[in-house]
Formats: sequence, C-alpha cells, structure tokens
Amino acid sequence: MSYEVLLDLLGDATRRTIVERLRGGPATVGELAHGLPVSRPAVSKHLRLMKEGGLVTDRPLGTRRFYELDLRALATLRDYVDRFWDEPLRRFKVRAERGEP
Amino acid sequence: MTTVVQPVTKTLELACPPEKAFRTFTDDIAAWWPMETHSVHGAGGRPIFTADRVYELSADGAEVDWGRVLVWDPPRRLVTTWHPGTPPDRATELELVFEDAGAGRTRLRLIHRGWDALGERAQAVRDSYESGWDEVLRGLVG
Repeated sequence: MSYEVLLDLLGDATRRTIVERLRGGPATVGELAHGLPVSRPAVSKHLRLMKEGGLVTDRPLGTRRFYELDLRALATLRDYVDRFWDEPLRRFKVRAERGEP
Repeated sequence: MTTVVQPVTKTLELACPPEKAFRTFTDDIAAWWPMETHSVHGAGGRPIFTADRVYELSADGAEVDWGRVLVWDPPRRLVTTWHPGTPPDRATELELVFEDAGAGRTRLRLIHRGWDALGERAQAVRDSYESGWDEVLRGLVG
C-alpha cells in the first residue's frame, strides 16, 4: 500500500465524501451516489480507483455489491503522517539545546 | 469541506531561546536532519534551508526541492510548502511557531497540514490536462 496513492485518492472531494459515508458502514454504489452531484458511473469509477489503491474493499451479497472502507489503510496512513516528524524533532531538540549559541 | 487527513500538530519544549531554535532549524539543519530515513537520496546528501527554499543537495551535486518558503519571520514563524520528492502541485504546508516561553526557553508548535486540499489542487491540474487532451483527441477524430 502506497501512502502517496492513498493521499492522492483522498485529494478528491467526492472520494472524501464517499469515505465519510462509508464510515457509517458498507454501502452499494447506488446508496453512495444518492444525493451526490456526480453520476453513478462516476461514483463507480471513483470506487474502482479506491479499491485499486487499497482504500476500500467490496463483496457481493446476493445480487448487490457492497463497498467497505479499509480502516486499516486509513489507520496506517494516519500513523505514517503522525510519526513523520518524531525523529526529526527529537534530533532538532538535542541540537538546539546544545551549549554553544 | 470534508477533511479526511487532519493536520499533524506537534508541540515541543526547548531549553533554548527562540532565536537559537529558529537558527538551528534553518541555518543548522544539516547538523541534525535524519537524512538516512527522511530524504530522497539518502544519507550521502545534506539538507539546506534558506529564506527562500528548502532543498536537498545530493553527494553528486544534484538538487531536490523540498519546499518553498512562504513566511520567513525569525525568530517567531516559519511557513513553507512541503513536497520532498513529489511535484510542487502535491505540496502540503508546514508551519513552525517558535514561542518565547520565558527564562530562555522556547515552545515550538509544528503544524503540518493540507494533506487533502492540496491534493485537490493537483486534481484540478490533472483535470485541466485531461480536458485539454479531450479537445486534442476530438480534433483528431473530427
């Protein structure tokens, strides 16, 4: 899973809205497209990209297909973003607090 | 507007005055930045932080932009775009506030934001490329 791909996916406002809707639980394309100012095919295309990038998974249930958020992917991304500055700041503090002005 | 990736905020207490903290973060960056894990070319290069830009100088003299300085206000505030190893249209934004905590101490606040919105700028750039190509292709098929 690539952080760059995930961030790229989340750079789109429609996809962010889809993510927020999926936080409420699995949903079909129709349910996700409802009330959005984009067409169902457009939503399907977004979901395909999100699936390829590891942000969502899908599974059939009877005749319908349900999409689900991969919370692990979001958690890993959050973790990466949060941790990035830990080591630089730790080293910065040591250097800044050294004796000489 | 929906934000999925919230800004990162870090706070650090330093036993040095803001002037030293600011100078260490910028002029002195090569002395502490962990290039082995946080760079494009790895441990052989070094980072350079000027009043205009932040970049990496590799061992063979190649420059890689990390960001452009938006606000240079020593010793209080520093704001840059941030896109090490990625195109500038995908930049996030980094803000550093060096607050005087009295008695020769500094409270540093780091805010790293724009994870979503600047991706949107990249998307707008991509969309404009796509619509440009649509016109070219339409012209070709007549």
